[in-house]
Amino acid sequence: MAEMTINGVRIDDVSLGAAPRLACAAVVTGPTARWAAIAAGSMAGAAPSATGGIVEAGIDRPLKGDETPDGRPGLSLLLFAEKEEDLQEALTLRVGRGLAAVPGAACYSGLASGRRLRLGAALTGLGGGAEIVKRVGERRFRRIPLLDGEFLVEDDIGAVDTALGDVSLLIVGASSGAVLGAAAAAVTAAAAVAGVILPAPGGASRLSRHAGAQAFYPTLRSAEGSALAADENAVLELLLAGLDASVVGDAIGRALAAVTAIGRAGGITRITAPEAGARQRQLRLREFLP
Amino acid sequence: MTGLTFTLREAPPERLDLSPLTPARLAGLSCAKIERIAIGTTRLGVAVGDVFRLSGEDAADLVFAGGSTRFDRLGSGLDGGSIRLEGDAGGYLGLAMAGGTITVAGSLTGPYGGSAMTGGLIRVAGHAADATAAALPGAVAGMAGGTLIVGGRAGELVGDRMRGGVILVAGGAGRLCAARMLGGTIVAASLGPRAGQGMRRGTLIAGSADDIEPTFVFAGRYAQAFLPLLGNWVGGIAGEAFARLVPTSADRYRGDMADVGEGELLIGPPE
Repeated sequence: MAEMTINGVRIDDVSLGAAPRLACAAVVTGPTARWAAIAAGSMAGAAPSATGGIVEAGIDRPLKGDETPDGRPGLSLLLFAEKEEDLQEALTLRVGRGLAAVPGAACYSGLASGRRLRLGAALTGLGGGAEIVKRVGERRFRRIPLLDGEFLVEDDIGAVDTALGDVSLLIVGASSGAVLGAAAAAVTAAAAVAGVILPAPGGASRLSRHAGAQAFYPTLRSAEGSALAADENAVLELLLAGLDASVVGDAIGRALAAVTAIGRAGGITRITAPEAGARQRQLRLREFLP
Repeated sequence: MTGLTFTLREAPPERLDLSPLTPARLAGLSCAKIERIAIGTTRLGVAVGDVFRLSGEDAADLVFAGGSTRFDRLGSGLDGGSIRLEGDAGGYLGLAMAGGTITVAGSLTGPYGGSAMTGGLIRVAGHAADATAAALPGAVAGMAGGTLIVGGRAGELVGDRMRGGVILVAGGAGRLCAARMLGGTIVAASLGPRAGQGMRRGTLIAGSADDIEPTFVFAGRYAQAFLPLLGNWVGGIAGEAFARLVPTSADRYRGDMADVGEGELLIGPPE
């Protein structure tokens, strides 16, 4: 295997696993940017992994007033799941129990795709049957009466089945401080790509659910089969999910560039990936190098 | 490819039924065949060739150079393509249309324009006559979907028994606008007397109203996200002047309590 290093950082010749996902995009708005952020946060919640019937969710990017349907400040949000029923259940719960309670919040579909999931149509219980359904052009909205007036929510939300989730990169370095700094830079770089989220809290995770991750635990290094070299003392996992392969690839490329820019001098030794699962699509790590 | 153009030779001798002249029915027909299509409504037996001179070839994009108050049922049942009328139209324009676009440079001079339509877009630069988008006698509902944009004023009973869709009127609407309304949205600069009389559901938005029916209940000041949402959409489809008709804050009245009472009147001066 040919050795490849950039700025002193070794790039392992491994495959990244990418799990096929169904994804939907929501646009969440509020009366002010602060309340919009609270609303989006309540809907995104903690959702680092779609494994086992739950979802990956996160904020994609903030939207200016002229980018949202109602002209108010907002954020775009992405949710990913393995199966449609999981995505539908998560959506209903997160909007019905979380977002609906946030003052002034409204929720719309962020994708015009043909495949639809129920959003407002699944929340009929909230308004006690007194909600008003309005069709505006091709879109249907529900005005659900609540304490501060109305909760405006689109009847259905667009979904795509081209999405990829559970894409994992491992950043390996000499110290936890160095790895944390590199991970933060990589998260900022990758999150700038529209259509990509990093669903782990803060974008980087110290808990990897992937098979064989124990080989990267620095405190278990004495055990057989450790994947760490003598000068490697910390690892963090970067988790990504995106609406299609091209945005995911773009985000991986930017993350790699950010980490290699810090380089060996900044305490980063290697970029690698955990073993890809059998049902995952395999992406070759080195192909994403900028 | 230029649009198939019907140039009016002279004022029509009688009322014309132009319903056969839609893109779907003219597709693939030769000019000679089109000229023989009967459009008369009396025993005179008027055909297309007697009234119009044909030019152009694209049947998906019909143009009528010159209009008349005797042009009835133009674009009736339209389900795609476009019809451009460079003049006035008579009654029943776009009756029961399901898709496509009709543009009228003049006014709707007869009733029931857009009645029973379920989709598509009608743009009228001039005024709209009485009973535009209203239910035909005996029909359960009037306009049921799609969008109707009127650049001028609208007459009486606009949107009578309307069930869905959106009507935008830059000028004022006359008496009994949205009477017996079942659903949908009407936005007008002002409303004449008895607006929304007997309405069950639906939304009526205006800068001012001559009176509010006594069976409508004041329901507070309304400034929810729905208004800017609607305003944004209106701006996109009809332009800024129409978007300004949608206020961001309005007095809300629920009614008509003499019926189901799930409709609303939103009265607020334009921004």
